[in-house]
Amino acid sequence: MKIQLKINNIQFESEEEITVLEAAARLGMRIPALCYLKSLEPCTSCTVCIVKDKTDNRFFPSCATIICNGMDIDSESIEVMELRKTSLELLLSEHLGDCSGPCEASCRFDLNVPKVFDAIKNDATQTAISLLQRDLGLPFLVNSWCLATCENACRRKRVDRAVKIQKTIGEFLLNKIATSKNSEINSNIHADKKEVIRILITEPGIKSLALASFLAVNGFSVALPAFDKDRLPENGEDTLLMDIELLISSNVVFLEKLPTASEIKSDFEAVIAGREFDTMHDNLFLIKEAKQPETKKSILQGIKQAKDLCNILYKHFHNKSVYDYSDRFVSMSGYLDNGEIDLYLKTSEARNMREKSNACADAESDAISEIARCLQCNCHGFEDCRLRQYAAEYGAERSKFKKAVKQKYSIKTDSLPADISTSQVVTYEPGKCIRCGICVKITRKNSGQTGLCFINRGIQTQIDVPFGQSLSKGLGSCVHECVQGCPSGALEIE
Amino acid sequence: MDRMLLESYPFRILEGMLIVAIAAGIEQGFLYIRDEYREALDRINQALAVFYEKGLLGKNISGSGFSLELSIVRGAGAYVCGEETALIASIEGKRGTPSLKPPYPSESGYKNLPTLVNNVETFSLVPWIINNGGEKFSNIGSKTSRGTKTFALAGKIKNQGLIEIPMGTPLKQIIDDIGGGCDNGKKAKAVQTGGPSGGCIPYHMTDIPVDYEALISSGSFMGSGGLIVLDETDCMVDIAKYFLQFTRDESCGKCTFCRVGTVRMLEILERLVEGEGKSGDIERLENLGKMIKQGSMCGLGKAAPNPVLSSIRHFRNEYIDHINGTCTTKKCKALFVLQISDDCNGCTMCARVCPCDAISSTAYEKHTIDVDLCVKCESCINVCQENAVIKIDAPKKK
Ligand code: SF4
Ligand code: SF4
Ligand code: SF4
Ligand code: SF4
Ligand code: FES
Repeated sequence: MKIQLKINNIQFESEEEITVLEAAARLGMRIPALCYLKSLEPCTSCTVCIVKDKTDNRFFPSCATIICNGMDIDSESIEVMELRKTSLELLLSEHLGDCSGPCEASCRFDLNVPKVFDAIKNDATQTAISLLQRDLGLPFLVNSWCLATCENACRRKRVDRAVKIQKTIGEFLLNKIATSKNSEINSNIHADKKEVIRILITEPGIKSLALASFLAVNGFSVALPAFDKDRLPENGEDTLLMDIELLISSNVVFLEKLPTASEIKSDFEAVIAGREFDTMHDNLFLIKEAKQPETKKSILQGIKQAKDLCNILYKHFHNKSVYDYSDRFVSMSGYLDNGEIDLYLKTSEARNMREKSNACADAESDAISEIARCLQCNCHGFEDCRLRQYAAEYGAERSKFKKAVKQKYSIKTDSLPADISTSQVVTYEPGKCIRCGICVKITRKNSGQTGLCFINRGIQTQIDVPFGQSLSKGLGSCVHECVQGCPSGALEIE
Repeated sequence: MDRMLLESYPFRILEGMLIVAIAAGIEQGFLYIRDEYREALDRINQALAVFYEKGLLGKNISGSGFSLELSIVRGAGAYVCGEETALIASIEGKRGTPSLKPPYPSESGYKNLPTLVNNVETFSLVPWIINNGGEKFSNIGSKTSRGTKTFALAGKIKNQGLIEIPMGTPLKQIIDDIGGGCDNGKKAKAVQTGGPSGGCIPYHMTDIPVDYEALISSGSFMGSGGLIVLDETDCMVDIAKYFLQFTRDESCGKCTFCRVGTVRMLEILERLVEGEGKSGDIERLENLGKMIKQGSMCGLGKAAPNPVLSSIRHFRNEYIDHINGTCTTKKCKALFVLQISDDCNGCTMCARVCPCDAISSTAYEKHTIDVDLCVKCESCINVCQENAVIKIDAPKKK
């Protein structure tokens, strides 16, 4: 028999008894779900997937409700959206974590410092450079001129002194780039891209250079006039020259003379030009280069504007942002007291102990040991955190429902069983756990083992390992599956 | 009152279950009883032994070919295990958390078998109905709610205890006639019906009949059959906070709305009784309360905001007063201070009972209370013959 129903006023038919969530997905409608995994029977705990049946005004989780004949499902009215937003806000009111660390949060260029550190430490030079170029545009110049607000905010300061972020990154740039051949660095950056969008910049200033860099690292092919040597900023000549070297290795083309009007039309998908430039291109974007000699501050500002312009172009061609800083959601745990800082310290030491064995002990050991001082106090589940993504999507306010008493930070660390990995540790942060139950369900597969369990009830509910066993004992062979299934950054392997 | 039935009429309940089992073709049954109810457990155990001894339970009962095994499951006393799916989970030996319905237990319950779940009171009525006929039973009560219902009458009322009344009896009659009105000549203010997740009905509305429909339309429900009478000295905000504390503690912690939402609501109530309410708090409570009702999975969460929502509905003024730093009934400690009025005749009684020596007294002169030392135990109020110790609004917090 066919089941017939309506979802958001669109007719749906199916012979199978599938869930409302699945039916909506088949119609191309996405319903958010935190505690739901396709491979697992539903947990029905987060209530983020809530929908309404208009025939009887009932609300229910779509992830676990089977479709019925005659249903009239509403999953997009303001009422339903508000419920989802509120359930996210309630989860966030109990949430303790920093989506990004204080260093990134205070950096005007939003550089993800610990991520760069990771790349440097693991000898992933190419990744480190891409990260730096992606966020700083002209990494040599910005690194040497910025005010190191990151160090001012660094949490390590509370233990002894701030991590020397600026110096460490600066030395890395000098050592790695200045001493290696171009071909070694950026050769393979976008070699595999088939349809490259070609962009012409007509101005020869620093802002244009930065824009070229941002565009290049985000997959565009860029051409611009050769940089006018007279415009080299005072005290920044050396660094800027190195940035230009970097651009050349990123396949940015420096033109001896500007192409003709017809060449522009045929060879470029977009043109970025100053106000005076005369062209009739369909995709024409405006850039304003300073006429007067500039101050450090205004140059840095200009680079930031170039980044925004790059985002606009990216949005234009790809329909999504590549720098989502303005519309992204950030959880912040704020001030941590001494006991809490100690926990961070201990955890990062536990991680570093494991890493020491494979870290190289040569000339860079200085940088490496400085990097080892970083507490990595940002959230390590940032990239695939569904809580954060939905919070951004639904415009959830972090502090709409403020908890009366501030929560204490806590973390559990445990090394993985030797048969799974000898160099990794697993961490569990209760403050980031939404008590969804996915990990509890997954670990039931560990036959003969206790797995994880819930303890207490109500607001006191916690995830724990029965009988005081260790975390990795509880996770057992399901550890990777749990970490992957966890909708937030509560469970991580490093 | 289910406990009373278990303790006093165990045979009636077992008989009811037996009849129901025959009617529905059931072969296995459980009595899920809280472990604290020792007396109830003992009595049911004894009754079961008698049933088995007389061959009224077990295989091939009285040669009829019908078999039924009944046994007791002792519950750890979680309120949420009154929810049928949680109860079933608990019997299966799992954590007592509700699961989403559908599937209803009647399709897939205990060990995925069709399962019938009923209250003690329901089973206890079955033998009477079988003996006397359904018609006779449905002649009692109101049009839509038939038969009788047992209530636990409690609170500020003279005659407390269990009562069984025909459905449809006016609430007022229960309070004034059966209950004998409030203690100490105080006026009744409201009745909380349906236990901790029911709602309150103001006294002036108590001419409604007690049946399912009338209670629901006045913002409450029958629930567990509790009737708690509040008098004029009770603060509705404080009462709402008390009940919400209960549901917060009893939430199983599964759904976001119930687990976190009740706590956030409670925090608002806590700041109201502390005199730290903010404008907009009432609307915040209403909004969040409505969403918790919509977004929770089981009856506990769906009903948890009821005491708050119904008291806002009927006693909004008291909430507004709290935001303005006044407790209407001077119940909330943070919102009043004690003072001695000119009626004081200087008897020194109050000073003698004060546990903190907060009252300075010279005999035959008006006494004074040092508000910084006073812990508001109200011993002085109780002991003063002249009613000279009075509560006044606490100075407003900045
Ligand atoms: S778990 Fe998600 S929301 Fe929480 S800090 Fe990490 S990334 Fe941010
Ligand atoms: S400790 Fe590391 S992650 Fe934390 S603020 Fe400092 S540099 Fe950033
Ligand atoms: S740790 Fe487990 S319960 Fe907590 S959010 Fe992750 S998967 Fe869910
Ligand atoms: S509504 Fe509350 S008690 Fe009911 S299942 Fe959800 S969390 Fe548990
Ligand atoms: S309740 Fe459906 S995804 Fe969480």
